[in-house]
Amino acid sequence: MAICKSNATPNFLQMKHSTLYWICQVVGWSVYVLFSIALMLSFEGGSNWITPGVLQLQIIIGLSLLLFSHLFRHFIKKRNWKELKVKNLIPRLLFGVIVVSFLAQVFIHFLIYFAIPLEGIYPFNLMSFFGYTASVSVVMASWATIYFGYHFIQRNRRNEIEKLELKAALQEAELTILKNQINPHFLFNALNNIRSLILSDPEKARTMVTHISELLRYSIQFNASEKVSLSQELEIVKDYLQLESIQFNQRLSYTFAIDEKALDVKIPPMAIQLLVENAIKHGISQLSAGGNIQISALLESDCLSIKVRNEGQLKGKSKREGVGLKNLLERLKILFGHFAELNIENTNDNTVTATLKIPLL
Amino acid sequence: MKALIIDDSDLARQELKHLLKNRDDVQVIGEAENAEIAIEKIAELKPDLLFLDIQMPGKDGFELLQELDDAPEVIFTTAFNHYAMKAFDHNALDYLQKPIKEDRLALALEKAAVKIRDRSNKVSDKHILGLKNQVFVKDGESCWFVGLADIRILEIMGSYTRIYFKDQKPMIPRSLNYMESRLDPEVFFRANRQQIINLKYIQRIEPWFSGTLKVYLKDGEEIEVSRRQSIKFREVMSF
Repeated sequence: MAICKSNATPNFLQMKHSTLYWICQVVGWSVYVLFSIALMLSFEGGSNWITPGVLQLQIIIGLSLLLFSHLFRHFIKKRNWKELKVKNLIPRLLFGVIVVSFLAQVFIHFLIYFAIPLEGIYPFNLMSFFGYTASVSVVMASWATIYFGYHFIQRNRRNEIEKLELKAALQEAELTILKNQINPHFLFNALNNIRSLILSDPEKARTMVTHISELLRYSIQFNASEKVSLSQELEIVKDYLQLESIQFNQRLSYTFAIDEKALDVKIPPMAIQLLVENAIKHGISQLSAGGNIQISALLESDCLSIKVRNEGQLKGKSKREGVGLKNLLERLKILFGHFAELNIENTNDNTVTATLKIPLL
Repeated sequence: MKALIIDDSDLARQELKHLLKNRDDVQVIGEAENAEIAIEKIAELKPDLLFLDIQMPGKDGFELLQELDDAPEVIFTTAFNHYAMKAFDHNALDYLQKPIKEDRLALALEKAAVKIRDRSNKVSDKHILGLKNQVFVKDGESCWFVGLADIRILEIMGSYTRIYFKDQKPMIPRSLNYMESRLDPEVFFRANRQQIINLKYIQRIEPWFSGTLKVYLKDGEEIEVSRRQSIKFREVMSF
């Protein structure tokens, strides 16, 4: 998605750019012409100066400057001056402005003295030619300032947008990495057990294939930034426990105590599954006689409190353990800020309790 | 080959028995669901081959093997254990991933059969450990089956013993005195308080100070034989 968007953006902007450019050119140079006429009128007895010839001259000047500024733009684009650093751009731009203004004056003078000789204008004078060139240079410099100013602002804004998009993409990627995957060790054991069941109890094998499908679908379906309802998550935890039961046989038992009112609360997918998996991996599976897992969910005033209890004791963790929990903590932080809590502790000599608190939104 | 299946999952054991049912080179003589039961059954049934799951309640597969003075041939079975598999690949131990493919199983059995035949050719007393026996050694992430024939030196390291074989020298959780009591005295000789040497690796012997001897091993190690042991050494070597 993010990639499509960033591809589409420049085309869209360019189209808008060229329209905007022509509007600015026409309006800008018209204003310039009208301003020049207004300036003449403001002089004492200015109205006497305004002859058809002078008006024609102003229009020719306006159109010529539009033409030359457009050629200048063409040159700027061709030379890719927009990519230059400011300190390299400014001298080029100053020189460019002077050259363009000079050429524009040559063009105008050629028009009004040779191509379509105008009535009632001063005869050619070299000094005033350079005077005109200088004053047009100032105008061209303003044109260039506006042109580049606009592009710098645009570029800054685009950078800003790109930065934000990048940040969002990064967060999405982070969540994807942190997403709780189904433990492959569990998955292959489950498949192996099902292969065995196909011989001894085909009906049960069929049920287990359904459980494993549900679990896989669930873990693939939800992207990590989404949340699921508690009831959806509990369904999957039950599928998971059914599958673990065939691995652990009589050694695993479990009970649920769920507050009905809490069933619609939104939680991160695979969060409870992870806590139950940990309870089995570090608790039940270490006990030769097996044990019981209790899963409870209680609605409190400002949060949903989920507890997973198992028999056993927490010991010092090795490095590899706790990656799942660390990821869950990171996910909680991204999704809920500091409002979610996760806590695992020995609650008595033979019980480990994992408590997950999800804020009610 | 007489095989013992060790796996905590009942269904997994059934599955493996089913796979082995039609093979006439393997005979499943028992099964165990955890390490304690397995150790008893190994002592009682003396299998040639273990199918051993790594992750089990209580002691895991590696810990089980470390408790055995003499390890039978082992084919590890594992669902998915990234770290263990790295150790396997590195040390060429045989493992099968569950669910097990039949052709991989056949291959593993062929290899095991060759090794078992090799071992039974090396005749030795049953109660002591000789050149045909092997120990399982795990040192951090690495593990090996080390044939006693490959061990040059056993050296005291507190209550542990460091063994020298090939270019490795890992430790095993046994005292040197215990190892001495179990090893074949015709092959392994207590050179001094710290070391036992494998006589097959001796290259050269020189008289040393005050009646002691210095032994040069094929791989360049030099061992000083204590005065008391030097007398014994001369007796052993002079017949």
